[in-house]
Amino acid sequence: MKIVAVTSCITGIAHTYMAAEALEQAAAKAGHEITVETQGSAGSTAIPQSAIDSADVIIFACDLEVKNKVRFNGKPFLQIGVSKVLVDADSVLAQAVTIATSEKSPKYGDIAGQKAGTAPSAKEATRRGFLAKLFGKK
Amino acid sequence: MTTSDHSVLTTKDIVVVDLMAETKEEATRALAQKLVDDGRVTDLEGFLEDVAAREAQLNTGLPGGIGIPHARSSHVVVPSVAIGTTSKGIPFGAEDGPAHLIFLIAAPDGAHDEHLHILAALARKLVHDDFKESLRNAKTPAEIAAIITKEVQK
Repeated sequence: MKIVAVTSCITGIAHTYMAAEALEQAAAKAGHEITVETQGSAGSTAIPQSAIDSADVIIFACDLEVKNKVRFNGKPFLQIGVSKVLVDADSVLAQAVTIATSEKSPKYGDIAGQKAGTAPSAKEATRRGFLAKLFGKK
Repeated sequence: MTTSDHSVLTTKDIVVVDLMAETKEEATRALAQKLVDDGRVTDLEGFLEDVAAREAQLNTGLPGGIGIPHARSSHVVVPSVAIGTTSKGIPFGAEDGPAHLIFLIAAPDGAHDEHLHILAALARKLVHDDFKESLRNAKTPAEIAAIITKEVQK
C-alpha cells in the first residue's frame, strides 16, 4: 500500500521527527511504502504532488494546522494527534490501511469542518493566539 | 569559565549519570543548570519557564522510559541536549512507566533551519530501541556523549 503522512507538533523540534521515524519504521516492517512530510522547525520539504495523488491513504499526525491542505483534497485520510504515533505506530498504520480499503471512508476536504482553505473557527483562532503568545510563532 | 565544544549537541559536561531527582521538575532543573554552567543557556529561570510552558501543553514522557522536556527559547545560545540517566526512574507522565533516560532539548529561538536539523536527527534516533539501549548501558558521561556525537553528527 502507498501511504503519505504529515507530522507536526507544537514546538516543532522533537515529536514531529520522532513520529516520522516511527511511521517509517512501522511501514517498512509491514511492507508499505511511505513518504512523510515533517512540518517542523527544521524546515519542511513538500511531498511531490504525484506521491499524494498515487497514495492510498493520508495520515495526518498533527498537533498544528496542516500546511497547504488543499493538496490532499479528495484523499481518504486518518487524522490523529502526533503522540498517538509514538505510543503505537503499528496500530495507527493498521487503522490507516482499514480506511484506505473501505469505500465508505470520508475524503479529505469533503466533510463539514474539514473543508480546506476555510477560516479557522473562533475557538481555533483563540487557541492559536494563545500558542503564538507562548511560543512566539505565527 | 571554560565551556565545552559548542559545535556539538552534547558533551560529557552536560551529561549526568545517576541523576539525583525525584520529580520531572527537579530533573529538568538539574539538567538546565548544566546547560547554564556550560554557557549554553543564559538564564536558568527564564529557560525553565519556557520548558514548563511546553510541558503544560502535553507531557513529554514517552513509551520506553524516556522523557524529553524541550523548548525553543530566547535564553538558549546553541542547540544543545543535556542528558540524565536514572536507574530508579522519574515520572514523566508516560502511560507505561517512569523515564530512565531524560533528554533536555534546548533550541535557540529563531534559530536558522540548518541549526535545527541536528535536533531533528536526534529526535529521529530516539525512536530506535538499539540507540536507547546503548545509552542505558553506557557507564560514564563521556561514553554517552560519544554515542550521541557518533550517531547524530556523523
